Formats: sequence, structure tokens, C-alpha cells
Amino acid sequence: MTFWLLLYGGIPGVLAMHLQRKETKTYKIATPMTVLVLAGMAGTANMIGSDNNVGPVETAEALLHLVIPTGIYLIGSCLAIFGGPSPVGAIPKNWRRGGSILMIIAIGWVIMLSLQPENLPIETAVMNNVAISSLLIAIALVGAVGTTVVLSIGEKRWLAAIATISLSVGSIALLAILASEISEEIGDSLKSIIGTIFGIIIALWIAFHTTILIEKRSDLPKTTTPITDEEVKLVKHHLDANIRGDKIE
Amino acid sequence: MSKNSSFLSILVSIFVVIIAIGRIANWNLEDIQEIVIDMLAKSLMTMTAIWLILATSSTSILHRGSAPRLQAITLLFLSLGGLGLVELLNVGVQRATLETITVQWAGLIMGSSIVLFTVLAIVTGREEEEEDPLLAIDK
Repeated sequence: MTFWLLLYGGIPGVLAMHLQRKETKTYKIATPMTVLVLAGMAGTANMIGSDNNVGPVETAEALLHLVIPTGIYLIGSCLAIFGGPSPVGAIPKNWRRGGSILMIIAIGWVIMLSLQPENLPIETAVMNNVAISSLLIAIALVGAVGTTVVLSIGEKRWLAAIATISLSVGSIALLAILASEISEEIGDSLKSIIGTIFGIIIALWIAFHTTILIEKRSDLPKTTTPITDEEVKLVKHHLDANIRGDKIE
Repeated sequence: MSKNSSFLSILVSIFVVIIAIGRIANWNLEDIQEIVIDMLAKSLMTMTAIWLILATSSTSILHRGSAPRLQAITLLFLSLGGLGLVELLNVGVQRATLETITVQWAGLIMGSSIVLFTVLAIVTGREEEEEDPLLAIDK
């Protein structure tokens, strides 16, 4: 339990500490706290081989197996988005085709990971069935929603609608092929994903209203004083000089 | 398409996909109570995790007197309440549950990003002929 508390509580906490202003005490203790949290996680990730052969290490292994094709796909799509005739940042121009090829390779990797994971150059993860079933269900669900949204917007984005519906139908087809072997994992992942979507909506709704309730009743911090006449004059002077083009005296 | 009909179409598409995958997973109407309780437990776990993440991270970024501290404490209590509700449902948080749900959350995030980036890549890719006139001056 300590590992999971550190993962879901500790990591966001130290990330928030790193986002503080540099002169604050919180920022100064951010790095030692990060080391402590990471050390705590390393020290508590010791459940290997216990309870159905799953633990933090197996979870990390499954996540790594998911990150490889997803990472390739996202890099490919970034090249396809930003690698057009006008270069954006460090992305080379005219790389759209290269990006599309990377996206196709990633889709091929996902298909292999689903149907023949033993033929991939990396060893099959212990939790591969859970990982692949949740990935395919998410693509199927979000793809169907994406198709509806794209079609509702109109503007004849047929190509985008065809791509999203193909992803959705393709994922459902892969799930149907896998059904005989992993129907339990598919059912469990579907329940989790539906529950997660409801959970996210309700949790954010409650958190948002709690924040409003607390913020409404709290006093404003006394960090700023009301603007003085001198400052009003100075701002007016700068506005006249910069916007109206008056000469500065 | 009007807002209402778009929302309705989204709901219909979600239901169609859920029914299709539910049939693949051999879901029966007799097991509906068990399925709903399991979904409820998973949504409570999600709420617990979200409130924990919010309590430990975002609220500390705001600097508005004692409000962030109060928010963090409230969200921590909500998070604990979520765990308690999971226990009340007689599902309990077992060791394997946390591992499985973490991988499932990761799958959900990655699957969603794959679809989102596909749409972006195709929508922006259609404007290949269009070129920024300011950048074209250099040529």
C-alpha cells in the first residue's frame, strides 16, 4: 500500500513542489523530497512474485510494453502534424510521410502485441492481457466518440472520421479475435474503463465545487496594497507615450 | 447538427461500443448486479486517486491564504471517504486490484491519446498545400 500511496500521492506532491517559485522554502526542499519519495518507492516495490504474480515491477513492465507502440505512434503523429512545409521548432520540414509511416509501424506493433506477443523482440509482459485489452477498449470507445464528434462538427472531415471509425472497428475486431483466450480480462477492463470515466467526472465535479465553496469564504491574501495616485499617474503617462504616441517629457 | 442531437449521438455510439464489447466479454443480464457493483467500486477507486492527486499537488500551487490548506485537507478526507465506500461495497482494495487498475488507467490514457493524435494528424495534414506566407518570404 505504501508504494501506491507514494505513487499517487508522493509523485504529484513533489512535482507540485518543483513548480513553486524558486525563493520559497517548498521549492528548496523539493529535490530532497523527490529523492526520498523515489527511494521509498524503490524500497517498497518488493511484492514480486506474490499474489497472482503481479506487483509494481510487473506493472512497470506492462506499462513499458504499452509505452513503446504508443510512444512511436505519438512521435509519428507529431511529425505528421508539425512536419509540414512550414517547420515548427526542431521538427524537420516535409516529414509528414515519415510520421505516417511511424504511425503505421506502431499500429502493426499493437496488432502483434495483441495476437502474437511471443514473436516480438521483447519478452511478453506478465500483465500483457490486461494492458492490451484496456488499450484496445479505450481506442474502440474513444474512436467511436471521436467519429461522432468529427461528423457533428461537419466541414466534411471525412478522412478523420474514416480513420477514427477504422481504429474503433479494428480494435473491436482484435478484441473479438482475442475473446476466446482473454474474455475475463476484456470484461474486467471494460468495467474499469466505464467506472473510471464516471469516477473522473464525479471526482472533478465534487473537487471543483469544494474549491468554489472554500475559496468563496476565504479572505484575500494581504500581499498587495491598493494602487496609489502616483502609480495611476505613471501608468497613464506610459499609456499616453506608448499607445497615443505622445512625447515623453 | 444541434448540441442536443450531437450529445445524443455520442451517447448512442458509446452504448453501441459497450454492448459490442460486452457481448465479446460474454456479459449476461443475470450478472448485471455484480457488473454494476464492480463498476461502482472502480469509479470510487478512481475518485480516491483523483482526490489524492489533487490534494497533494494542484492546491499547493495556489497562494490564497489558508484556502489551499483547507482544500488539501478536505480532498484528503474525501479520498479517505472514497476508500471507506469501496470497503462498504464489500469489494475491498486487494493487492492485485491496484496493479491491474493502474495498467488499465494507463491503457485508457494511451488509447485516448492515440485517437486524439490521429484526428489532429489527419485534420492538419489536409492543409499541406497551405504555407505560411511569412516563412515563404525567405525562399
